[in-house]
Amino acid sequence: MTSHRRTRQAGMQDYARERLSHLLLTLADQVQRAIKKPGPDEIHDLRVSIRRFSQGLQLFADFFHQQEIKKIRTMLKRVMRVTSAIRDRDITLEFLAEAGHTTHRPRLEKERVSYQRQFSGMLRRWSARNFSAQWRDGLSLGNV
Amino acid sequence: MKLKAGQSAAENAWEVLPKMARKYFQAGRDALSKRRSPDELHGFRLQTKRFRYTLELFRPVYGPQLDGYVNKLRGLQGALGKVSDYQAIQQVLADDSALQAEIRRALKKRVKDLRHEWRAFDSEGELKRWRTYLAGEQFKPRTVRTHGAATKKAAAGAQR
Repeated sequence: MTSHRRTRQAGMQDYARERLSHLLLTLADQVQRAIKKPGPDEIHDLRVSIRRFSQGLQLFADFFHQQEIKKIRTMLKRVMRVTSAIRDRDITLEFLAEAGHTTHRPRLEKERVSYQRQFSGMLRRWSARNFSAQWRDGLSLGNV
Repeated sequence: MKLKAGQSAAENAWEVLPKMARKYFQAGRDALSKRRSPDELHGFRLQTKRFRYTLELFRPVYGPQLDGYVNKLRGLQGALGKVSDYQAIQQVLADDSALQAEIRRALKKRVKDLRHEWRAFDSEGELKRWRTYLAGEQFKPRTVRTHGAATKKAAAGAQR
């Protein structure tokens, strides 16, 4: 039996656990990458992996503990909010550079540093608490 | 979107995703075929992401052929992202009236590009193609259905 055929026949709950487990692993990697270097690309990639994981949580919500899902999604939203402010500054700085404008640059760079500090603090706290293992436990993903 | 615990992953995908595709195309037609403001495109951009990531969650069910569909969404998402970028720039530089005119021009151009992209995405027969593919007909065992149809036909013949 091919692996695709096996997957098609998998029960919904097992399938949801396997998918979320995979997405959480990717998210944990992106968090570590963004802690090391919070540049525009790293932040973009982290946002994408948060969105993917969030969509998985939302789609498969019925198969997991509701309270845990709510808690995780709240934490993810906080990171999305602060990274959105960073990303807005990054694309504006890029637009200004391409258009040859320099007036707003110092203000935007200063704002970016401030948001980046918030962001890095947030991720370091996540990492210190070993968020990935906690969420894995909370969602009962085990060692899928 | 309600997934059923008593069904397999594939049965759920084949039931739910064609409906999601229909809703998605309708949302796109509402947002792009009519003259809506760039702000109203924001909701459709989020819907595009949700649709794409949901499809990706079921990639193991459909296999690599699904990538062609996801790539089409990715192209559309890129065009929507550019509109969103200029909206963000507009907000960050809200206090600079001289730059606002320049940003508005760029935004208008991006919206035009997006409408062009959407027309290609929603061309004749595309929704039907998406729905047929997502319903998983290609994976369902044909022999069983033929046998079922033949049995029904034989039974109907016997009654006559």
